[in-house]
Amino acid sequence: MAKVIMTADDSASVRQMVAFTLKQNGYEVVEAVDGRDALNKLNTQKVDMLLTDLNMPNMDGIGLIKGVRAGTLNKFIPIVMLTTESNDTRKGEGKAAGATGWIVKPFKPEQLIAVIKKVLG
Amino acid sequence: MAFHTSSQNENNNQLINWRNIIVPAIGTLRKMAGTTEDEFLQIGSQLQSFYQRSADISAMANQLVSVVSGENVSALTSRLQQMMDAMGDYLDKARTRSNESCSTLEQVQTLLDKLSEPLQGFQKMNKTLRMLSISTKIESSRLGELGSGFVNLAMDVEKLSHQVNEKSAAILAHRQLLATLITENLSVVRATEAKQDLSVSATLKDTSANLAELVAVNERCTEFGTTAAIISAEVTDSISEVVSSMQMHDMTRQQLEHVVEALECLTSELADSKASEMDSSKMIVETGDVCELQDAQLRFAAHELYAAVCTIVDNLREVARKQSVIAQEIMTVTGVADSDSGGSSFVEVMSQGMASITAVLTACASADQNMSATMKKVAQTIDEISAFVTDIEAIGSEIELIALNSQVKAALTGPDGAALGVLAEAIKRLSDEAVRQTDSVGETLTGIHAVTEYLLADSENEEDQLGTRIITMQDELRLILNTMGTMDAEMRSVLSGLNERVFTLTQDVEETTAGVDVHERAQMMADGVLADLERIVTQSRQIEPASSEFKENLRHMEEHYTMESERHIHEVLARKRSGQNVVDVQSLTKSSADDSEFGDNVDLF
Repeated sequence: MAKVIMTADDSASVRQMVAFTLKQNGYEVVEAVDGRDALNKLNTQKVDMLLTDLNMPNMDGIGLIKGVRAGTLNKFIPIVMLTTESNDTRKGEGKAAGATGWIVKPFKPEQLIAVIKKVLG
Repeated sequence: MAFHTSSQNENNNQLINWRNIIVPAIGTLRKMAGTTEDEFLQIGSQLQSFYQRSADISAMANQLVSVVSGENVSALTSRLQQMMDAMGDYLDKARTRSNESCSTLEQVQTLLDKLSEPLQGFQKMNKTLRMLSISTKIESSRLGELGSGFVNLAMDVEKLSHQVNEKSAAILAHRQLLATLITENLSVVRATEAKQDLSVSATLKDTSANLAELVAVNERCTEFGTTAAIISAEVTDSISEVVSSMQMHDMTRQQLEHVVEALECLTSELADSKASEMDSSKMIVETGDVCELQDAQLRFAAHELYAAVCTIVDNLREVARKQSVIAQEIMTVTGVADSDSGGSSFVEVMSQGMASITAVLTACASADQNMSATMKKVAQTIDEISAFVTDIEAIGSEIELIALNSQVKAALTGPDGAALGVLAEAIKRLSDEAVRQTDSVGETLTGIHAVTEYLLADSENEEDQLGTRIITMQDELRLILNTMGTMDAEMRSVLSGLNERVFTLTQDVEETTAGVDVHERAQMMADGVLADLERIVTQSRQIEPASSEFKENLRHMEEHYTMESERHIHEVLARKRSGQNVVDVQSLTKSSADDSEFGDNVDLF
């Protein structure tokens, strides 16, 4: 059965590229347009992993991670930040919030898949 | 109320003027940030289709390779080689047999010529017998009562002369028939041989060449697997580049938003400075600093966007080009590209060659049967001639009896029958002559019989064996041709589909990429704003030179950056202003990165 991965990003073109990469590699994809949309969906749908942007309207990536970790359904899933942000302080915030990893955009498809395989075991 | 000097008034007017330039520039940048997404999404939606179609083309190329490579084709090639050898062997033997048969027929021809002399002898005998009959009749008539017994004798001699005449005529007719049969047969065989030699030689040569080509194709197809894997990896790289570059839209948008934020902040300060009567000189410096920095940020963002779109277009075209290379390569390795203008593949040519050989084999079998039938006919005719010769031999014996009888009667007649004695002697000599001539004919016929009987027995034996062999070869060839035909049809079907897919992919990629001008439009918009910013920088520096506190003035902007590139651009400008060495933005970006297992942009906690 295919693993389900959620991608949360306010950029439609980035979601499109993430979804393209994941689907080509046999994953099912759930898309969310921002942190709040993602959290709403994650409250009712079980996924295997979350890829999230940092800067998003309504709720940013750090807020989303905190919300997921505070919930129950997807509390322990791996969460990888996928963002243009490369600031170490921000990375530290992400790690502290419960992020599993941090990928600075732009990503290469093979790189993203390698990280996913690693964190999904 | 504050008092303004004339210089201050000029500065304030200048600040208002710059604000009036910056406000519409912000509008342009907002438009620039917003208009690119739809076009990127459009390309992104096509990418899925291009990728899938590209993967299908690679799969079809591999399918094509598997059709003409592998163990089945190796086994087929090996069996074909054996068949070719067997055919060559058969045709060599057929040729040898044909030559032997022709040689035998020529021998028979020569032997038949030898029958001429005894046949003439028989005719002479016939004449002599008739003369003797007449002479005997005359002499018996002269003797009157004494020669009355010779009348019956004369009638017997006459009867024998008729029989000899009849038998020798029959032998002559059979000889003639045989000669005609042999001449015609030799002529047909020689003509067929010449034709077959030419045809078989060319066909075997062509088929051998095509067999060699099949072996080469098999080897090339095996090697092509590596080439296809390399091309496939290159296509994956191109797609990867596209995916990577597609994200530049989002990054550029963020950079533009940061430029917009900075310029909005500046316009707000410009508006406030007038109201708060802020030091216009300080504001001029700050305006110059902000515009210079945003000029650099915008220039970089516009360049990145332009380069990203070019990369996307180039790589999509590269994907189509690579698939065209695969299609072309596959046509070469499968031998279709080298085929005649008629478009027939080597498999088709080979099938035609095999069909020609089958036709030659059938013709050989037919020639064999004809030769065998000829030999039977020769043997049969010789048997018939032999029967006539036996008859003549019997006639000879009768002549001998008549001679003895006439000698006895002549002796009984006494001196008056002396003449009849002479006749009896002549008849006796004729009897000896008949024996001599029949022996001669018999000897010749025995020779012919021996040769043809040997050949007939041999021919019947081999005809059976070779007939079975030809049928077996034809059956197997039919099977091989069917297999090759199926292989050829499958190959052509896949190739046709492959070419069609490559064509439509190339066409669609070209159509999609030809319409992409988002980078040109974005660059035009950016150029307009950059010109405005440069003008403001130049004017501001003319009024107030750049301050060494540039970095300090812009420190508040650093916290808005999200990207390394933005921080580096900021750093480069700051270094420039403080008189430090100017470092390239790209090198700063690269040198700051840490390598990890997954790449320098990945951290796993």
